[in-house]
Amino acid sequence: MLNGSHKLTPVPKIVLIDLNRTKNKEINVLNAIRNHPDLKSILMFVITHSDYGKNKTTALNLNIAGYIPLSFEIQQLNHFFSVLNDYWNIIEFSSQK
Amino acid sequence: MNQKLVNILLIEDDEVDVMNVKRAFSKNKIMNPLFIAGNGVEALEMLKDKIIPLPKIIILDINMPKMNGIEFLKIVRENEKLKNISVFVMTTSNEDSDKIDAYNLNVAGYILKPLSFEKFVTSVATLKNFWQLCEM
Amino acid sequence: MKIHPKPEKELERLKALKEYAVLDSLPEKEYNSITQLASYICGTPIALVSLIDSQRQWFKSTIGIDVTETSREDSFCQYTIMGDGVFEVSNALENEIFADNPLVTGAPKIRFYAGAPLHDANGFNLGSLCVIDTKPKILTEEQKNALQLLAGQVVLLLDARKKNLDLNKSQREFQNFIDLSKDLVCIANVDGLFYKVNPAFTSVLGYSKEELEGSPFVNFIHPDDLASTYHEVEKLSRGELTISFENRYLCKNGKYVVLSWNTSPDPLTGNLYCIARNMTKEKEAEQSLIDGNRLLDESQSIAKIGSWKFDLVTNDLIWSEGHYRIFELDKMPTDQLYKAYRSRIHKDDLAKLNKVSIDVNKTGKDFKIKYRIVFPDQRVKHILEIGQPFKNENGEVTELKGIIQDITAITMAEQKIIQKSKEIQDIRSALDESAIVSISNQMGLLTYVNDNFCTISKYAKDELIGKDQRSITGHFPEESAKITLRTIVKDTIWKGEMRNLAKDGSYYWEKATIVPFLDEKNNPYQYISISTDITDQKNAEENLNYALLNLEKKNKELDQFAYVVSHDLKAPLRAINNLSEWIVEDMPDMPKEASANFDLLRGRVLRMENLINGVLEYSRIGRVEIEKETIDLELMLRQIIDSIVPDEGFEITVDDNFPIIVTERILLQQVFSNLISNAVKHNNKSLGKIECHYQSVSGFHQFSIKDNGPGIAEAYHKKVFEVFQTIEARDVKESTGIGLSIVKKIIEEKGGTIHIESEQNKGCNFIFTVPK
Repeated sequence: MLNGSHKLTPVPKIVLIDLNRTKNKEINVLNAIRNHPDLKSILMFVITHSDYGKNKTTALNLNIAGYIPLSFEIQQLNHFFSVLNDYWNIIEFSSQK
Repeated sequence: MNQKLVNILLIEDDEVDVMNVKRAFSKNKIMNPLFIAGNGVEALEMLKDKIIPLPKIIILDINMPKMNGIEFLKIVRENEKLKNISVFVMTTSNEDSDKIDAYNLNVAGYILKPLSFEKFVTSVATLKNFWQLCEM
Repeated sequence: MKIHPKPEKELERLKALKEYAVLDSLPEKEYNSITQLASYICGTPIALVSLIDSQRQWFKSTIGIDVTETSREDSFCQYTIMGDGVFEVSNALENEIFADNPLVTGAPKIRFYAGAPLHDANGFNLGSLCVIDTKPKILTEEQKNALQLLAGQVVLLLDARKKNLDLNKSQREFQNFIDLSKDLVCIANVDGLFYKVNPAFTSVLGYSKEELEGSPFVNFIHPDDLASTYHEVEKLSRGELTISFENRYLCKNGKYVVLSWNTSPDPLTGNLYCIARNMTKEKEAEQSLIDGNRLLDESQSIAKIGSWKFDLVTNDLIWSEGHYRIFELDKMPTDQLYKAYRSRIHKDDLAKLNKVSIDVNKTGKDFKIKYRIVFPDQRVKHILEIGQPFKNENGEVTELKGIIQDITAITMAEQKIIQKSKEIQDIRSALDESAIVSISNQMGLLTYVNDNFCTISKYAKDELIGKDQRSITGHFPEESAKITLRTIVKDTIWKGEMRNLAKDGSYYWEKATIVPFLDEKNNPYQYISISTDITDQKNAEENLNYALLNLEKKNKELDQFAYVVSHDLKAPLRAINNLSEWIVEDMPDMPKEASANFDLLRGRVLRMENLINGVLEYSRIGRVEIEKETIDLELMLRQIIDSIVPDEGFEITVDDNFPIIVTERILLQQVFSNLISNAVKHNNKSLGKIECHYQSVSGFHQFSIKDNGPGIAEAYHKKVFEVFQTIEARDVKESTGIGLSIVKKIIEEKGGTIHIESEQNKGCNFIFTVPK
């Protein structure tokens, strides 16, 4: 979606990734994004349902903006999204497309 | 939740702005150990020579003497030991070019210092929530 | 010496004798009869008819002797012809004249002679009829008379003979005439048969005499001419003559000839005496002539030529058909033609014609003149007339002959050519005047430069001609020079800008078009270059570019400056703000006045920041290029309203006809935000009403933001747009005073207008337009 025929425009400034399904695939996505010249500056926030220490290190090595553990309780989800939203509201983005 | 308080390094040349951060942190009850460097060069020294313990978060101003924030960030990102520190830019510069540079160097956020202290405190509160969420 | 007598007019007598053509002729029995009679009557053995020639006497008839002639000297008859009567010599021996005559002394021993002269009608004695005996004798009167009578008979015979001879001669001559005549002469009878034909028939028709004589002449006539021939014959039978009647006869070889007959009928016999002439050649010649004439006419017509002949004495004018055609007149008598001719002449050319006539008369030289003729319908033709004078025996010019030619087309074409030439000349002059022109040959050497070229290149003409044009022109990188050359050498036109080197080492720019001229083989044989001096433009361009670069630089500098200013100014502001806040915070026991002062302080700081921001923004407008986007204005308005207008206490309406336009998003956003936030800020009612309207007017989008606030008095409608102008004191209503000036600047930069409709306390309507 970020590339190729289904390309989103304008390119998103934030990407929220669920790293749970197939961990390899997601890690590859992260790598891919960081390596892509147009996409490497996207803010990436990673949700994880498990506590893979290895992943966290990898993620931090890729300068993930936030590495957030999450369980699926509703209150938590609310809280999660409202914090994220607040955060996203206070940070600045360039007006570049 | 076990909260291990991560170290935060503030790189800021303006005395008042440092006070700003300190006061805002205290208002928000952020207890994390806070280290101050006056500019990029000083910060690098502190980091490389392990004068301070390795921070997980760097709060970075851009306009600083001797070495500005972007230059500093470049060097950090090229340093194996330092490159995975989360960097939050906090600056008065509203310049697009600075924002682009910062994000290209994969900062975790770019925050403008508001004029009013009150607003700043609110922003810091949000930041704290975020950090807590990330288990920083 | 004996004197031999000669009659008077001897020469005439001899001539007369000759005319009888009797000398040396054969004996004829009529004469012999007479000599016989003479001999009987006179009783002599010898009788002679003798004719006296110049030197001899010759005997036409002899009885009794065998001699045909003797010398005149010895003759007796020479005496006979001297007189008119009978000359008698009774005894020759006793006559002293004749005593020793050889004819007496010798054979035939004449003793007696009597001769009667042959007396012709003109009185000449041609000779004599004489009787001779060998014995002396004397004739009786009756015998002498008889002799004279017989002599008369001899003369009659001679006359008759002469007549006969003449007749024969005539006849022969006549026959010759007929036989030798090239004309066909014949006698035909009324039955239609050829009776007698002359040899010409054979030579012309090829038939022999036998094939023709006795045959009906109609057998030989061309079937188409039979009817007219019968008609002629009928006329002839009535006794009328036929003159020049033509019909065609079939020759033996199958060809036809045209014969023209003149025939006279003989009323007595009914015979037709005919003479025909072979007109075939004439006919052919005639036809040739007709054809020739027709051809001439046609040629004249094609070539628009006519011929004329003018008699100066009688003023008779004769024209060919072509001439009539050109003048568009009907054929008319020669005496009227001259007038008609003059009537056609253009009045302005009559004087010219008259002068020419006078000149011709004087000088006798050929003339050539051009004049115009005018027709009743006002058409004009141009005529070229050439004439030759012909003189009479006295050397005076009596006749003029010549031709005319309709040169209207040529004249028109000539005029057109002159006109076009002039046009070309004018264009050329204009070109020469305005442009720089040069021509080079296929080697690239200059063959022509105009004045402008010299002026701009600062070379004199002679310094340029023959020089390689590359020494001056095309001083730019080799690659482009090569491309230029290749283009024109390939017979394509090259257009472009060139930098050239002038004599003084300076450069000048020209915008040139180089055209190769191609010969029949499509190879260039010369190049013509037409260019205009664009040095000034180029310089202006360079200056402009330089100025633009400068401007960009200045803009950048300004941007930099603005950034630095705003940043560096803001930092201390923030510090002041924060510090003052902390001071208050840290001193909860601060007297109220002091903390109020601190509030004021902070308010001022805030104001300052706003001012700085406003100034920054204001300075940015127009300098920064912003990309245009397609914007749904209604959506944008809604977004702005959402973020600016408080939910409580306000009622917003937005027209539903707001268009989707392409423009700079941020600019319109600023305008709307500003105006709407103003409306919100200045609202003094419990329920603030804000209306957003749109209207399309010609060439512009018209928007209006209307509120029900305090309104703006008319006096201030202009002032509010000025920088740093506020309606209220800043302490009363915090306002930078920059907002509206920014709005105005944005709108005017885009080419639109903004104005206010408002009265104090009656709300405010900001109306602005943006070009489409």
